[in-house]
Amino acid sequence: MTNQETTPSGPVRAYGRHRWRRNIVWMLLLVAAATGAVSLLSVSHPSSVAVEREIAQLTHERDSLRTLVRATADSSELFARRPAGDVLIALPSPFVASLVTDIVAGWFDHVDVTIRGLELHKAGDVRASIGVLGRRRVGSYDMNITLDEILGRLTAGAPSINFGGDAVAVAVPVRVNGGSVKATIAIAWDSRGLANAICGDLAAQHSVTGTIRVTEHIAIGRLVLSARDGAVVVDPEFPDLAIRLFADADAASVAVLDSLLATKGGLCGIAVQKARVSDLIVARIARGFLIRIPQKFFRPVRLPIAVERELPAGDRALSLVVSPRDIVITRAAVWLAADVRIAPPP
Amino acid sequence: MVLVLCLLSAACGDTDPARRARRGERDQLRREVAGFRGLESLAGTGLLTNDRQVLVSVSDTLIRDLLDASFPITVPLARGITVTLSAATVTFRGNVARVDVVGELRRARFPTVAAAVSLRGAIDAFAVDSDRVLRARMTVDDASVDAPIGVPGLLDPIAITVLQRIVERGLPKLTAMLPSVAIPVRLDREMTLPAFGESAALSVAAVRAPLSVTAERVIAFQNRLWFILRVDRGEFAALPVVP
Repeated sequence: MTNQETTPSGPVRAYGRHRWRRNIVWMLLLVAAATGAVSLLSVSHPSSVAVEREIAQLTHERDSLRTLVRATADSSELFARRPAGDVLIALPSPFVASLVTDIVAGWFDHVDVTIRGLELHKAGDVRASIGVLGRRRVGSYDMNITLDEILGRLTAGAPSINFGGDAVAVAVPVRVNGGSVKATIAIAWDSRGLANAICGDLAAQHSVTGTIRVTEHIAIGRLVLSARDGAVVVDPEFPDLAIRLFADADAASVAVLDSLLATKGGLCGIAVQKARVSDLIVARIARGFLIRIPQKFFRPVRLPIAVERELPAGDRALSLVVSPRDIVITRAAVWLAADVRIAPPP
Repeated sequence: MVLVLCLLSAACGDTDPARRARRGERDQLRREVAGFRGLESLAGTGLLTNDRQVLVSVSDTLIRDLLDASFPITVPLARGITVTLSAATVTFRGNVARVDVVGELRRARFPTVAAAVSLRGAIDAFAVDSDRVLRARMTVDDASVDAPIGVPGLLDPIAITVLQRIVERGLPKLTAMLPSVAIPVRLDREMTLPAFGESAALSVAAVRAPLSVTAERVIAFQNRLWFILRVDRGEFAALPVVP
């Protein structure tokens, strides 16, 4: 006994073992109790039957709604002839029409037409009935009109747009809002026969001014849409586009030329008068000046939406390989499609 | 005592994977039905309602690839547990842009444990950012932990429940760390019409107009995300002539 008391390790160890076993038992009981509680509480979760019933009802509703929505999408004009591709950009025709109208209005709001140094030449014989001498050629004229400056101003109206095919057809009303003309007239008079003896040759130079008439034109062309660098690019095509500016010479400035020529009196005066120099000038200016607008003047316009070739991904940039497909133009939309994949790291 | 607490906390959750899966399926169906109802309402008004709207569509495979390119992402959670998200799957249908992200949970300190983690959520919060990129964020609705490793089989449900709790509490942090989805479509903030014929008879000055692009609506349908963007243009103004 004493031995047992003096050697505490023996009974204490036995007591410890006993206590340890008791703890294990308690622990197992607690586990059992807790597991039971878990099971009981788990039963309190929503009934599986109710969940299954709701799944069945929702599945039925989902399927019928899906059929309806799919039928609606299939009959949609917008989605007709929709191309395939990882990325699709659809520019609906109302959007394109609005954009083209904006572009035309913004771009051609005030277009200045400036022509400088344009040379016109006109020459001819003048025949006149000179008393008893009868009808004779009294001389010839050689007239150079140098258009020092023609200033015109154009504005565009609302275009009409027609979708279809591989391009968008447009007709743009263009209005010439007036302008001014400054020209220098140089006329050389070469007298012939009897007139030559009396008049001799004559040369005169004079500045003439005029105004551009207000006129309206229709510019007909098309907008060719293409995919370039992942974007929709619009190339305006207006072949053979030309606008004629009609001008009216100021009567006063032309009259000065007439009076200059009229300084030659007698037979000479008759001859010059017969030549009707002022009429020639007025007629020539009134025919107008054709302004040809070469195709090269039109620049492509890139629309403000495009497939990106690089994306931020966290703290790095992700390179993309973009393979654009052909543009598809339907009555409802312009479609840009592209296949996109992530480029392998370099 | 810790074990008891764990067991009691387990009582508050549903540890039956099959039951959890069915409830998840029900929730998903609820979203799909709500989504289809939203689409159904479009049948009357049409998808696009004004002439300033454009449509951008991206396939689910591309979105998935873009998301996958952002992984792996490691997020430290409570009690020395880290979650590494490694891959995503996306499903766009019924107007629901569903995203599932899978990964692994690991505790490196004793007692070590590892388990599979899956996050279920959706892509939403679409916006055009200052870099002209259309972006979306992922929101996580639900997380589940499964197949623990390093735990005696008997204790699997307990371990799953404890880990599930930790992951669920860490959902805000996980959501914040998830990558945003950048859609590879560039949206310019201005439109420039170049000058032409500067030295010729007919000259047109270059003009520029500011553009404002906003994401108006996003629809998940037929395995694609459809973005309805509104593009508003300001007044064109002539650009200063560079000498």
